Amino acid sequence: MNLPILSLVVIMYLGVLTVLALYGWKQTSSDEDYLVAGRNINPVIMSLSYGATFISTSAIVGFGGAAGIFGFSLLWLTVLTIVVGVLIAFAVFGVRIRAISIKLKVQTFSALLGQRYQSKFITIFSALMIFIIMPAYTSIILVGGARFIEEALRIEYNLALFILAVIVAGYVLTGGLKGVMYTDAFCAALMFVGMLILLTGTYRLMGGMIDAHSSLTAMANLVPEGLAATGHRGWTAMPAFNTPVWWNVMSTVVMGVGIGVLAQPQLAMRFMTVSSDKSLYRAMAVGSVFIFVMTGTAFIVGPLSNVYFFETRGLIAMEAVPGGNIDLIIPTFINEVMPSWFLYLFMVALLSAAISTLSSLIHVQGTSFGKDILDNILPKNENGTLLTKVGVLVAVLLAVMLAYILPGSIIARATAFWFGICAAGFLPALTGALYWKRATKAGAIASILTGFTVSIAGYVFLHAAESVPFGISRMIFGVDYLLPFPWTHIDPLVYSLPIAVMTYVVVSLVTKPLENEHLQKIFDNTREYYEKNENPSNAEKISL
Amino acid sequence: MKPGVSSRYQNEGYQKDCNSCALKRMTERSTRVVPRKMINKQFSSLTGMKAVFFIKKFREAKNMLGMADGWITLAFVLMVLSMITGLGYGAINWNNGDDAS
Repeated sequence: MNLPILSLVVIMYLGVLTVLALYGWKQTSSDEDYLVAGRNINPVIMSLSYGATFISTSAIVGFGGAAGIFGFSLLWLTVLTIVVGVLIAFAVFGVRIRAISIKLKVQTFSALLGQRYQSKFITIFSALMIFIIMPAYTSIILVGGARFIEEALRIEYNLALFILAVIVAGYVLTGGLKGVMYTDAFCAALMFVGMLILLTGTYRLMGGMIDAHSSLTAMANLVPEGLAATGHRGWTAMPAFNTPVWWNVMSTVVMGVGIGVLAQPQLAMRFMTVSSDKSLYRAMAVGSVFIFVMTGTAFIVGPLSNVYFFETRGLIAMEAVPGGNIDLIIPTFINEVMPSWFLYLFMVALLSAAISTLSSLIHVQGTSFGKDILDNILPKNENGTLLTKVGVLVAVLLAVMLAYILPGSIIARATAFWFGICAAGFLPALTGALYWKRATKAGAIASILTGFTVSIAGYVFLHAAESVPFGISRMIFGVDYLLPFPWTHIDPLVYSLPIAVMTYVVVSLVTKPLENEHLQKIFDNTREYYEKNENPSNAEKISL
Repeated sequence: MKPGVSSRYQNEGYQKDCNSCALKRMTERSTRVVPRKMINKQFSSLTGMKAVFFIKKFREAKNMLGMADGWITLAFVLMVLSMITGLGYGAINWNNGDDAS
């Protein structure tokens, strides 16, 4: 790539981001603007922002690289991301989250749970979990973005990391959620075009869809012995049932991310930003196409890179990249295969993927710290936005620090880790909050605590991929993991989520229900509720 | 002679002329009391035929997509179908969504 041209492209790109962030900043005059974008964002912008937040460089670089190893079996994740991450998320969860957040006048995910169950503990604990655990996820997004910049621009990794962190901190601090969503939408458009060209370009390069798939099918005998012995049966076949590879793919990657998406605070926040249910349905139409192209492309191009590397170098993808680092499969493939003009576009597309997700995560961490933790702990504070901005800065610093601590080839795994923990901790309480009148405060607290505890314990003591590098199990018990296979490869989500659900139901049924008046406020028809009880402000009338 | 088939139906001429009689024969049979076992057997053979048909079609689709495994083909097809469902559902409800909860 020509460095002066690339620099010009990146400067232009950053210029557009700056303009959008400033536009967001100009439109931000209240806490509600900063936290939930004034609740009147255009549905197309909302859906693009949702998609761009969901699809990070992690999904493209990390999961694309993982698909380079595990093959098309990761397409099941695309199915789940569309069915669960868009259809169910918007039509089942989104409409209720939006309505209840208006009724309870809440602007954050933690506050939604806390106020629904009338528990300050839930608000603070959820925010604390987000603020403590989310930086690990944020940092791997940062790592993913920085790795791509390192590969494409040939600049030092540390510098790449620093540049990304400064850009994101800059515009989250100034533009708030409006700035974040406007820039997200712009980033999403770039990502969409880039991925669409990558998909068609890859198929064209390999003589069309069928030829490409058939070539990959014919390579099944090239699967390394180590992988074949653990269940890998080729890149166009499912891994053998109940083998380590099968559990890795199905439980960690497919289930972990595919189900975990429902309980992601940064995504749930997006439902609070639109003005009506109509907007959510409109956003759903755009969102399904976007997610289809983004994840579908990554999980198709990743495996097909094996065909290219084998034809040109006689090696499969994981052998063709430096140090066998699977996070480098997609960047290396694109650098070698795509025309130079595309590299500029894809460079900004991937930069966009990283920046859009990072900004949303940093914003959620900032609001958790400022609005949900400090605002609830400190004596009455008038300047909530300032506290949120402090939270944003702390979150950026934490993410940068962790980026140096986390090992390589970790992008896909760390994403699944965060999604799995969120699903076990938040999903039962969130679902019940939206649909189950009998759910109680004690049930929600027990479920959240159980979900987090069991899933974290599972990662630390049972799931080999995490328990070995963490080393806590060895330190305490003298062994890397406490139970034999298959427990070493079953993602903790598989058992922690059902345990959390059971705890939630049982504790709720044996404890005192919430006050009827409070439940009526939440579950009654919004319009009827206001007619009976309150005189809504003009802004609320619009949102009704 | 085909085993298990009445000599009446072995006659080619009869079969040619009486294709439209199939419905009549079925109606005639329906007036008789048929043991449940026989119904189950007929039902299972029908569903079995359907299953064979779909498996055959599915294998053709699998080969068409160049995949080695039917599960991957299924994922590929579902991926496209779910996208179309999301697009369609969103489009159908473009103006229908209730603004209230």
